[in-house]
Amino acid sequence: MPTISRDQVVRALAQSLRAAFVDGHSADVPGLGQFRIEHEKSRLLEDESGNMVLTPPRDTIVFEFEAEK
Amino acid sequence: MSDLVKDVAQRLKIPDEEAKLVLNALSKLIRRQAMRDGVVRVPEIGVFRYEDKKLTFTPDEQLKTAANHRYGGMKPLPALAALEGGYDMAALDMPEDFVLSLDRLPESVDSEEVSTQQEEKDASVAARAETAEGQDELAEPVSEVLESDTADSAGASSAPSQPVEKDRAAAPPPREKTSRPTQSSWFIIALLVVGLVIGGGVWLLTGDGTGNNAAVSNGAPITEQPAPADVEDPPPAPAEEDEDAPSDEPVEEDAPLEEPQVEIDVAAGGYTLVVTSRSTRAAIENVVGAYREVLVPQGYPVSVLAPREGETRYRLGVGQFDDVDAAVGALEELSGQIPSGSWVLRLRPEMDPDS
Repeated sequence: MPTISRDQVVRALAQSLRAAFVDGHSADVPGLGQFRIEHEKSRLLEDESGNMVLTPPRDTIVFEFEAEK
Repeated sequence: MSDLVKDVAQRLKIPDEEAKLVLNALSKLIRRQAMRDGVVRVPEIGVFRYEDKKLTFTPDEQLKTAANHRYGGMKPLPALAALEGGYDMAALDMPEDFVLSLDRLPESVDSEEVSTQQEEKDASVAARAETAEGQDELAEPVSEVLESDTADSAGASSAPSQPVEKDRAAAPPPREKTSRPTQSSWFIIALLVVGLVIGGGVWLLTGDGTGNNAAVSNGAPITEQPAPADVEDPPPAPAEEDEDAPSDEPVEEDAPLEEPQVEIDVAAGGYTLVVTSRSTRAAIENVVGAYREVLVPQGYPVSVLAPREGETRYRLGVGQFDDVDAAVGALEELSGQIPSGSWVLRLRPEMDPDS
């Protein structure tokens, strides 16, 4: 059985997460929790100088920890 | 087995079950270290913190970029300038329909609507960029794709980002703000000039050039008073009769001038056109004068009609007709002079406001 280092696992997990997010998918990490993408609409806000600006929409990562078993 | 486990197994070239065990072990390690030290940083993934007996997560920049790759590089836009058409949209390299939809915006737009439209456009621009780039990031190591993304939001996000920069740079000078109103005012001036030319032409053709052209308002045959002989049939063919009447025919001095009927004889029955209604008699009386001034000379009496039993609104009736066909004909004839929602009503004795 080949040995796998912790760094290899972390790197593989990071790559898999990024691949899932690029496709807009959520990702369940066993024992840790669920990463999912939430969409934020563009909004009309007042900036520091008092001007109204239209913020761009964006997709953000939300993480929910899995209850420890 | 989740897709993530399968993907990790593929990358590590191990069976799925084994990948699940490995990920479980990593998860346990992260949890323990976070609880022990309060914070644990996992390279390329993010920072896990244990605060107030709760675990929180802050994603790494690369991960954030991957999640937000569709909107990467977009910057806030000055909102009012966008609504006032203060941008040179042609220079933005945006899709054609984006410009058109902005042009179609009504005078008053609520912010929610604007943000929704903006978002839809953003999404469509991002989608175009995405399809242009192709979707084979998964085939390649994702990190390569993302690194180029992070550098300056190149690749998929370069299309939207450059225009935004241009946009911000172009926004402050009021050059475009003034150009749009100027174009529209030139258009209005041109319309006025064309209207004047057409009006003058009509006046020359129909009028006698002596200033006796009061009849030209709205193109309606309001008065042909100068020739009492014409009293028989005032409405039709004003132009021809005007030319002949004053010069050729000597006016019969004793021809009695028929007073036009001012009020509708509600008791006589028939049909009328309801042009408007008000909740009080005082309110409807306020508008009677304006209608009488224009329509009575054309032969249409105007009266207030009382609400029938079970109704609450006073109506303003125009004209009195023997049958529905005549009423409908008048409705068409008066289109442009009475509100478009006017309708035919059968007159009943109880509608007499004085009864």
